[in-house]
Amino acid sequence: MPLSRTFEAKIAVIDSLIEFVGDFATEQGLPPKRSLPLQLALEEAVVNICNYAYSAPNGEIEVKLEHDGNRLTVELWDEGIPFDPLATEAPDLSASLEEREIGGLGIFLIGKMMDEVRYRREGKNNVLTLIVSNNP
Amino acid sequence: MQTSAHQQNASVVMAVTGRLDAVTTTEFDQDCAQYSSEKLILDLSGLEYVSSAGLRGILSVAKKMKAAGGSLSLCGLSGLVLEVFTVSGFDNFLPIFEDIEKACAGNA
Repeated sequence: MPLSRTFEAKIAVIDSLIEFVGDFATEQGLPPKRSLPLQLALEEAVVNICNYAYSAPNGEIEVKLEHDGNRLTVELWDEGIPFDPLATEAPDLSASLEEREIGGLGIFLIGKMMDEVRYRREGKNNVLTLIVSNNP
Repeated sequence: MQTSAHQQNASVVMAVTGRLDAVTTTEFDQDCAQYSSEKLILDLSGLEYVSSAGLRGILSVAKKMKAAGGSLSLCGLSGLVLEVFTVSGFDNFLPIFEDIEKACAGNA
């Protein structure tokens, strides 16, 4: 059964957003070992929305959840400026300490932690879809 | 996220426990500031979770320490924390040891 909740787009909501998704994931049988990677992907996605999609405060993020018995699908909807995180440049992972920059690492980690990540623009919304399986 | 530090031979060992994330990383940076010129070892055996915000904090601490004549190394990484550090390539520029003893030996 689909479930949704709307959060203010700010860093301080990350813990409660993670808890909302985590409770649903646990109910639906997502194994505990998939929990921390999911939390990480959610944090990175919310940080990106707060930093890039919304230039002004008072934005919102709607979280929509669905589980089909094996896969949890999390959609994050925001009404910010069009921002496709999957189109950003991959970080240089081989750089030295002096040269190392941190940009792009969040998106990179989402891709590493999730089984599938998709982006689409729907009307005035950015929609980021995170998919994680019970059995990867 | 909590930290506690003690001197061990030539090194300062700081245990970092809990979650190093977008909310707690500022506090972590502040906790490290006083050790900028030391040989600092972060014991991450009690760290459950780290995000890119936490990596950003550790990168910033490492750069400040290098400029101040100190050095930073890590030990005790496991699970998600170990995975995040290695896939992000942080093991390319930060020494990572299995445990505190080996990290201290690296600073002797």
